[in-house]
Amino acid sequence: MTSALIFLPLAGALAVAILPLPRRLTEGLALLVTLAECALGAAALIGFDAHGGAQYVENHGWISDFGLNAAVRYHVSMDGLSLFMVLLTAVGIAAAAGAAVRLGRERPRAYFALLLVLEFALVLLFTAQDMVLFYVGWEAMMIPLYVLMGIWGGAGRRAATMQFIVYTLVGSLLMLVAIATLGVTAHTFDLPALVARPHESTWLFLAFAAAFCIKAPLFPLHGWLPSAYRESSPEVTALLSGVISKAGAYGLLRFAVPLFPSTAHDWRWLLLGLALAGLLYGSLIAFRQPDARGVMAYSSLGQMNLIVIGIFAFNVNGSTGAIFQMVNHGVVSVAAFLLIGIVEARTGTDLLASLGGLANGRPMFSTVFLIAALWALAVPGSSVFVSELYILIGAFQQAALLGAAAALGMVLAAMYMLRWYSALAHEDDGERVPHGMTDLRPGELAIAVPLILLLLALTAYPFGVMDRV
Amino acid sequence: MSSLEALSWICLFAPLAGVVLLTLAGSRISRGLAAWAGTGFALVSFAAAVVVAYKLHHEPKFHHHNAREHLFTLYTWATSGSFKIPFDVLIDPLSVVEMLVVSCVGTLIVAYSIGYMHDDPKERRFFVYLDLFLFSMLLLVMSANFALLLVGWGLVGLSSYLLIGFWHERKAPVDAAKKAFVMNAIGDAGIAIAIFLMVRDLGTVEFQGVFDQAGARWAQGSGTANWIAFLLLVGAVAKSAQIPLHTWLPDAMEGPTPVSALIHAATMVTAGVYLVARTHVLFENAPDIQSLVALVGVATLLMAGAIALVQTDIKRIIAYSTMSQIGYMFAAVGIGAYSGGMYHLVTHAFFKALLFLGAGIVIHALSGEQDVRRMGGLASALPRTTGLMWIGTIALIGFWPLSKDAILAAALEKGGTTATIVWVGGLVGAFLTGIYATRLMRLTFYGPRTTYADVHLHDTSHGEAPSTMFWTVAALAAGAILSGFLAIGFGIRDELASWLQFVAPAIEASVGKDVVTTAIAWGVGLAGAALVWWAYARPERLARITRPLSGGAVVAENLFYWDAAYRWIAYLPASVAASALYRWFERWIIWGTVSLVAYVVRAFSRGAAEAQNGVVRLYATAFVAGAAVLAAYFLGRASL
Repeated sequence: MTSALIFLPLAGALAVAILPLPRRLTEGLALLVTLAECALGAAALIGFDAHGGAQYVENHGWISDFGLNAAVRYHVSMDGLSLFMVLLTAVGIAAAAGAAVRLGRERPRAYFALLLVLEFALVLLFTAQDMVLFYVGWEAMMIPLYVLMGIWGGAGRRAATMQFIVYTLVGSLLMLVAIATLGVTAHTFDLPALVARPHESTWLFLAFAAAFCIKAPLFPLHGWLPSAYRESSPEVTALLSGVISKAGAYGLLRFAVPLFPSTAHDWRWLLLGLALAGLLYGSLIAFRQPDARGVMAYSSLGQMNLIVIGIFAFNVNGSTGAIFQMVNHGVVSVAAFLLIGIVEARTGTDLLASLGGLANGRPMFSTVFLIAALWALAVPGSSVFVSELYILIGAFQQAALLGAAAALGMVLAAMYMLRWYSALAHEDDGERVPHGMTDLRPGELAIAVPLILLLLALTAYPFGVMDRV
Repeated sequence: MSSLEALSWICLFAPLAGVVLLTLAGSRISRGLAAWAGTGFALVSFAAAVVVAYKLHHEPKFHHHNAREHLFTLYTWATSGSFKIPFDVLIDPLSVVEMLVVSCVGTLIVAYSIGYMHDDPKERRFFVYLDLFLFSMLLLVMSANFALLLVGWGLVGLSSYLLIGFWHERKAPVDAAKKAFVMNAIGDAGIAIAIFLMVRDLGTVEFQGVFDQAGARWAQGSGTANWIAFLLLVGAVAKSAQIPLHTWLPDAMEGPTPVSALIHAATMVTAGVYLVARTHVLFENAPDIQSLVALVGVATLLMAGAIALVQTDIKRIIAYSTMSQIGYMFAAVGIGAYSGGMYHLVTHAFFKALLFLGAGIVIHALSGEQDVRRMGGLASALPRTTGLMWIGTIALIGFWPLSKDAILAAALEKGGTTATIVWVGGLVGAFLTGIYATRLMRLTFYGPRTTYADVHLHDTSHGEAPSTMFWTVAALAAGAILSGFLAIGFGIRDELASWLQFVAPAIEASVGKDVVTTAIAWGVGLAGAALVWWAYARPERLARITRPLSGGAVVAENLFYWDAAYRWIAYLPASVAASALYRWFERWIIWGTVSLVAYVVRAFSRGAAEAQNGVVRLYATAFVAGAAVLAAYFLGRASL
């Protein structure tokens, strides 16, 4: 099952790249592969034993002697965390592919092949139980991303991609050194074996943490984020914010903390402090952003820092909340950025001052934007509210002031998201809104509605996720 | 599943079914059908609530705390393994009273909206939002744990946001809606932090578990006990528009009038009173904070009463009146007179909804005009509306529901500094109420009719309002009268007190104090009313009376400068800080570092691969460099 999930997108990528199909068929094939991946993921979810630990295990030899007596194995499996990250990936990529089909990308074979390679890499890194295998997934994720950003992005894509590369490369190299050192000293790269014997090493922990915190990103390592989120095509931004940022949080949960539990515990105040600063800082800055993407970008920064707070609260409430928030924030920000993409396609801008009035006589527009905004601000009752509540409870158990200060983020989120929604939806039509602009069309609804339904399902039954992680 | 349980779930979920079905139906059904269907779902809820109340009433009233108390669990909503949130409801006398008020007044007001919103193109959406509100409010009053209560608490805030900003083509409603939501988010955060404390110290947020353990875990008046009560008070104050988080309520009048009646008068804004009554164990464990509840109530009732004197918008006058009346309820629960506070909540729901909807008929008849200075002399054109408004006004001044008197009598009975302040402040407030309530009637319905009103008044020969509007207002008037007469004739006040006795104990005022207080309260109320009638008879007389008060009037007209204070203390510093952080820290430090590093790397890569260009090449270069470093490292270790 796990291998099928990993290699289906890769096979799809090869097929899309090699077969000389016309545009429509290429798009159709790519979309079909992403949907098949979703179906496979759903099957894995149905067959998943809620309290069964790591499942769908596959463990084969790969490179018998890699460096000093340390074998690299093809060891993949899924526990609850992996499963839901894989599902998030499948949903996010399918939605992004749908959006790309709608927007009509140039050189579709290359574009969709890269998108599918990205999916392969993400699923690999979310399921890998071997550190080298994980690293392969990690780097394999970066390469299609650089190309997708650098070639299909907006006007400032060159500089944005450069910043992104510089930042992530620093992280990747640090992690590579850390993995090599750890493998060489422990004579294994196998994660369960490594976790069974906890290590203590300030430098290795910091190297891992740095790589993951850049990806998440943790304040103040977010220098790459604003321009990357602004210059990428909407579906790539949706994936960056919704899915790829989660790879950073996943790395913290899967590697940095379990490999070095006591070191992580010693350093928690640094990370908690930065994350709290990042939550409030991102939320404040989001409030003053002039563009729809900017608001969501800094909102994402704040939310990812909240997730880091949950992880380093070092209790079950915080970590369960953090994992559930990874799922929720993933779906919400994929939906939000794709919706922004629809507006951009219609109006040619995402500047809030030039937009407005989308709700006038356009009930679908107003409803889907409203739901995205409400979930993003964690309206009580929403799935995001549940995950934030658990994170904050965990933070409060770690330190009362931390939890109380982080709760302020809820108020700030209400401020910036309502500003975002009102600027898009309310009052008179903005100057860039075409006269007589229609409501959402069926093709756009086909992307938005499944994501909205997913959010409603997560809201009705958070237990379904929380009990499995 | 027992029939009581089934009925409880029907009561809760009928409005939600309305939301879902009306949303799915969208424009496939006619606007009229959507309106009637929206009302139908509310009516189902009310019918279920009535049967639940009836069944509960016929259960034996044992003298232990489980009597007439039912906990129904639907499923486990969320869990972290160690801390679960069940989806459960508590059916007991207190929640049943609220269920009845919410669904009864709710159904009437939804029905009124059929006529009021008849010409609005977004009529369907309006009924979806109203049903969403009813579901949220019922969830708030029925939930059996603090987390679910907070969900209901937040969702009523959301419904309120959606309905205040219903006419979102204009800027004012949108701004008012945002303001209401954000101020309520502060309250939500307060309750959330209280929940954090409960989970940390008790490991549960179930009402029963928390109330049972609270006294043992937190000593009376200890820091945590005070914090918990204080944080709940923050939530209550925000939702119920009490000082200092009250400034959103007058602005909320930008919403359609049925919304003002339902959410911003009868039900949602009184949720703070319900919260204090429901969690009285926690407040009694923090006596100082409970006194603070009473003092906040007194301060608000006086300030809002004073502002109501100088308002000229008919809906804002009633809004400040609402704020003031909720002040009485806070004062009541603050001195421990829970059933007195709840009784005032019930009667207020009827007479204040009546006043708002009556005002709605006036506004409707004048094509949307809300300024009382442009009205006048409408009694002849709208005689039946005038009569209904008088019923509401007399109830407001306090002549027959006697619910305000009950609060004051309880204060006198209780004694002590706080209760004395409540008693004195309440009597001053009764005088103010007499003035502003009568002034509203005098300016709207009597005196010479303005030319504006003459020109804009609709032809009323076919009735004063559509029948769905008129008869629902009449029904509310009947409710207001009934609650008053029953209090005198059949002692429903005592009935309510004994009904609530195990959930929210009462202070029984002794007969003498009861009568004395009522006499004084009536006296000052009547004095206020008479003063208005006397003063407005001649303009120069009015001018002579108001001239020495002009300084105070300026303060009241500026709403005691709260909005200005928030602007200077909170909004401006926050937005200046955000802009400054963005302009200086983010641009120069965060982005600057990136650009610097990027520049350095690019310089290096240009050296390494001169002929090449492009980001992928750069990446490959750096990757190879990294691998080389690594290989060197391994070789170094291997050679050791």
